[in-house]
This record gives sequence, C-alpha cells and structure tokens, in this order.
Amino acid sequence: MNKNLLVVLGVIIALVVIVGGWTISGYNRVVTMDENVKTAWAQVDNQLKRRFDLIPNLVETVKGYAAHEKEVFEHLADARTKYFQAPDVKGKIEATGDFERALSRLLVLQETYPQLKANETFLKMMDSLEGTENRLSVERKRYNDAVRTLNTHIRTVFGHFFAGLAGVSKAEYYQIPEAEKAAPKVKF
Amino acid sequence: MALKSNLLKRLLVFALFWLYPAFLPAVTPPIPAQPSQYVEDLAGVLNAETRARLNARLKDLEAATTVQVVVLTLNSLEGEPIESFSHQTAVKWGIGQKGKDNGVLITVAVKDRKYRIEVGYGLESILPDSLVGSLGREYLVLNFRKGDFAGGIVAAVTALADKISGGQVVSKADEGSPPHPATTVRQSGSPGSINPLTAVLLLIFILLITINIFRKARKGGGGGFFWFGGGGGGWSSGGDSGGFSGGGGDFGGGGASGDW
Repeated sequence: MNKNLLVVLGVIIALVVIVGGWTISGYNRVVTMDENVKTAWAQVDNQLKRRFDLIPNLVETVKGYAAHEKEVFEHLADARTKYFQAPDVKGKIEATGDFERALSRLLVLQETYPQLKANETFLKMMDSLEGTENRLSVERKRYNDAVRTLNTHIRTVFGHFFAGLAGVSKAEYYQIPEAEKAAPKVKF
Repeated sequence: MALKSNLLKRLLVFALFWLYPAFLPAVTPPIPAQPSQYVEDLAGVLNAETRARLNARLKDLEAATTVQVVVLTLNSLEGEPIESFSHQTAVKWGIGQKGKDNGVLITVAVKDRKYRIEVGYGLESILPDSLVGSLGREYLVLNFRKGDFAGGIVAAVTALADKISGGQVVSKADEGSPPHPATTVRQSGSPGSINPLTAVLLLIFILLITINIFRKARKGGGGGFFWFGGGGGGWSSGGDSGGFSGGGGDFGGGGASGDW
C-alpha cells in the first residue's frame, strides 16, 4: 500500500513540476516577446524624433533658396506637433504619415531649385536626413518582426492562453500608408 | 561491407544537407558568401597588388582598433536598393565586433554606378552620415567618374582609417540613437544563415569518418589524423595574407550612399 502511495505521490509531484515549469516558461515567453515589441518601438520612436530634430536645419538651408514656399514649412511644423501630441502608437503612426507627405514636398523643392544640389551644406543635410530615413526603415522592419513574432504567438493555442494570463495584447504593425510608399526617397 | 554502405548512406545524407540551400528560391541579388579577406572584389576592378595593399591596411586597422572595414565590389544590384542590400550584407557578414558594433562596409556596384558606405551602430559618433557622405563625394565620386576604382577606394579607405584611428572608437553611438538593445529584438540567426548548422554537420561527418578509419587502422596507429592538421589555417583558403572573420557587429542603417 505504502509503495503505491509513494509512486502516486511521485507521479503527482512530477506532473506539478512539469506543468509548473511549462506554465512559467510559457508566461515568460509571452512577456519577453511583448517587451521586445516595446523596445523595438522605442527604437522607432527615437529615429522619428531624430528626424524631427534634423528638419529645422534642413528647412533653414532650403529657406535661403525657397523663401516663398512657406506652406511646405508650415505643414511640417503642424505634423510635428501632431506627432508629439499623439496619445498612442497608432496615433503616432498616423501623424508620421502626415509628416512624410509634407517632407516629400520639401524634398521636391530640389527639382525646382537645382542650385541646392551644388550646396555642400545642403548635401550634408540630405546625408543626415537620408541616414535617418534609412535607420528608420531598419528599425521599422525590426519592430514589425517583433510584432509578427508576438502576434503570431498570441494566435497559437497556448500563446493565446498565456497572453491572457500575462495581460499581453496584440501589437500594431507599422504600416506605411500606400500614398507614402514613395516618400521621402531622395534622388539627385 | 555493412560498414561501407552505412558510411555511403551517411555521406549521401550529408551531401544533400549541403546541397539543399541551392534549391531554395534565389534572392536577387543573393548576399555574397562570407569573405575570408577584407576586400571582396567581385566586380574585378582592383588588381592583385591593390587588393593586397588594402587587405594589409585593413588588417592592421583591425589589429590596432578592433574596427573591421570591409570593401565589396560587385557588378549589379539587379534592381535592389543599395541601402537594403548593403545593410543585409553587413549584418550577415557580422562586420565589426559583437557588442561594439564597430564595422564599416563599403559597397560599390560598378555597372549600376552606385556606392554605399554602411556604418555600424558603434561608429556613428565618429562617422556621422554627413561626414561619410562628404567622404564619398570627395574620394569616390570624382575618382569613379574617371574610372579609377582603385584610386577612389584606396583614398576613401585611407580617409576612413584616419578618422577611425584618430578618434575614440569604443563607445556606442551618441548622435541621438539610443543604445542598441543587445539581441532581444532580433531573431536568433537569420533564415538564410547555415554556417552553424554546416559546422555541426561537418563535425559529425568528420567524427564518423574518423571512427571508421580507426576501426580499419587499428594496427597502423593514428594514420587518419593528417588531414586535420592541414586545416589549421581555418576553413578559408587564402592566397594573400588576410583573415577577415566577422565579429558579429550590428548595423542600424547609418552611413551614406551616392552615385557617379
């Protein structure tokens, strides 16, 4: 009798350990994925801010050649404000779309004022801007990869369960609205 | 007899493993294979002397500063934007030391007349985009327009090396980008990389052969080991002195592109 009891006890303990371990790792996994998404977004946000910071300089350089293109500059300022006032990731993504529209119009000015292309200050400015845009697309891609990992996992049977347990919800992809797909690519 | 057919079967299996990547859909253009040197002249625009000189220069640079600078020339990007090609290649080759992310990749697409200087996270403070852009315009564009690829690349590498060894190299980027979060965001190992897998398979393969050889050469002694000694220099067969092996550095997309 005793022996049987021990065996049963042993099995129960083993089961508890296994299930416990499984639960902990499942929970941890979901939490880690969520944290990765947040970190990735922070990277994107940082690059977006960096882009905003570069713009005033760019505007100053261009203004010297295109003083009467005031409208473009105003749109940029408005979009920038909208971004910083946006309450969540979704809002920020939308505001970024507006900003990118305005930015592409600014860049088009190069065509109207070709003297800009000979200006080394302007060219250096464009290097910085392009660099930021490039960094942005790298971080966007990494963000979307992290989101994909999380969202796919949340959709799986166990992932769904653990996500509920940990209070983790699906994340928003960073989609570039169709209209902006071309902006702000710079071609000399 | 049974031993031989067993070995043969194993050989077949491993051969298939290695050939498998060939059946995968091609990425145009595919990321070139990991180079064993600092200069990978796929477009053939540099002569042997220039390559050797550059290799030596870049090897010294790495020895002195741990910064890895790699030069890649190829014919065409086949429509792929140079930014994404350059970034993927730099990351795949792991240029720069892991953690320090201090790598630079110079890509020149000769037929497309495009170039890009890709700068790792860790070098962004001493090689900001505007500096790299100016460097490209000054050294690469002017020389490339004359058809002088060697001159342009050597001049650019010299300027970069001076900047790198002149400034402090070790600290991470400061130009507004945050400290790069280690490896949490990235998937472990890109889908295309098979090197660790290949290495493991190769090891097992060799082990099996060794065991089989030992079984046969029980009396003769360690006759099967001689070919391990030959591989002492690493897997790369290098004609020139070289020895670039990726340190696992990461890239955030900094740098500058241009055309001529």
